[in-house]
Amino acid sequence: MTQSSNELQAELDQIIEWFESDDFDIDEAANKYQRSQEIINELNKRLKETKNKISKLKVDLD
Amino acid sequence: MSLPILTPSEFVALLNQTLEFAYPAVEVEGEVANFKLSKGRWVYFDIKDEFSSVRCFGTVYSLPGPVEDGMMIRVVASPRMHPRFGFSLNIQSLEFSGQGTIKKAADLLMQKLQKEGLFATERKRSLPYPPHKIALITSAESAAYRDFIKVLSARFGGIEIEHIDVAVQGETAVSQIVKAVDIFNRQSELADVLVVIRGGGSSDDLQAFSSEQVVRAVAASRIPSLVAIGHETDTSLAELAADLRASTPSNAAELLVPDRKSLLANLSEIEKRLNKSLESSTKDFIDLLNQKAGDLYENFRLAIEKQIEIVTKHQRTIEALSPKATLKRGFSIVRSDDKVVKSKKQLAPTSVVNLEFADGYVKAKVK
Repeated sequence: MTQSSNELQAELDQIIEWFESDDFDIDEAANKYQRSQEIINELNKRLKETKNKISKLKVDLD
Repeated sequence: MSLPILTPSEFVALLNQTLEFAYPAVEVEGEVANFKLSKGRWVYFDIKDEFSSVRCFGTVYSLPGPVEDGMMIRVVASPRMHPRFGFSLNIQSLEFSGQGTIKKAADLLMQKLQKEGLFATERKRSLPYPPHKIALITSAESAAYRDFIKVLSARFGGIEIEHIDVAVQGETAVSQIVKAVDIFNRQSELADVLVVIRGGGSSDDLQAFSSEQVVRAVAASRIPSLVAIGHETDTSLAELAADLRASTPSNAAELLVPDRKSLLANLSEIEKRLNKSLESSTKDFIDLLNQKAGDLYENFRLAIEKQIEIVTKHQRTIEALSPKATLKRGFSIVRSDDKVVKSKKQLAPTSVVNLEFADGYVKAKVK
C-alpha cells in the first residue's frame, strides 16, 4: 500500500533520529541512508507534482 | 344565485385552498409585537405597521436568533386559516432587517450562545495539519471559493476537496448551509476538516453566518471546523463557534496547509543534515576501526615481546644447565669405552680414559 506523505515524513524523522542517536551500525546506516534518499525524492515529487482533487457533491438542499 | 351552504370546516378548507393557490408564500416586513414562546418550541407574535397587525406562527427553529418586541423583521410565510385559532402567517423563514435590529439581534444571540458555552475556548479542537480531505461549504460562484482553491492549490497538493454549493445570502442561505453541514457530518467517511467560507459584504449579506441555526450547526459538527466570513474586520457568530477562525477565505487556506516552498526547503535541509550525519558517523566508525586496529597491533606486539622474553629466559636457563656450559666452568667428563664414568669403581688401574674438556679431548691413564 502506498504510504501517505505524513507517514513518509514520520519515517524520515525516525531515520534522522536514528542517525543522531548512539546506535550506529555501518550496514544499517547504508540501508537507512538509501531509504532516506528514496523518501526525500518521493516527497519532493509529491510536493511538486501532486494536484488537489476537487469534487462537487450533487445534493438537494431545498 | 344561490350560494352553497358550507360547514365551518368546509369553509376553512376552501379558504386555505384558495390562499394556497393565490399566495403559496408571501414576504412581509414589519415590527414584532406580542412575541411569545410556548413549550420551548412554538412561537407566536404579531407583525405590524402603523395601521395593521397580522398574527404569525412558527417554530423556534425557523428563527435566526432571539426575537424581541420592537425588532424589525422580514418573514417568508404561508397565509393560513386555522380551524380554531383563526388567521395567521405560518413562518417559513425569518430575517432581521434594519441595521439597528440586526445588531441588537446579533448581540442577544451572542449573549445567549455565550452563556451556553458555544464559543468557549475549551471546546475548540485542533485541526489535522495538513488535512487529507476537506469538506467545503460556500457558493461556487463566489470570489471566496476561487481565492480559497487558488491559495490552497498554490501551497499544497494531494488534498481531496468535496464541495457543496450553497447560497451564502438570501432566504435559502441558512437552511442550505445547515443542510450542507449535516450532509458532511453524515458521510460514512468523515472529512478531516469542515470549511465554511464567504467573501465580504454588508452586514445584511453576512447575516446567515450569525443565525442561530448556522452557529449551532457549526458548533455541533463532528468534523472540526474552520470558518472565514467576510473581511478581516467582520466577525460572524459562526466564526466564534468554529474550532478555528480565519480572517479571510485566503487566510483559511493558509491556515489549513503548509506552503510547499517551505516544505521543499525543509526537505533540502533534511537531506544536508542526513549527509552530514552519515559522513560524521562514518568517520567516527573509521576512527574507531583504526583505533581498534592500533590497539590490536599494540597488544600483539606486547604479547610477542613477552613471549620472546620468556623464551630468552628459558634459553638462558637451558644454557646454564647444558654440559658445555659446565665444562666451561672447569668441569670435565670422564669416559671409558665411550661410557661416562660416574664412579671410581668403574675404573681399573692402568685403564685408559677419555677426558672431555670445554675445548677438546685428552686421553689419560689411571694410576
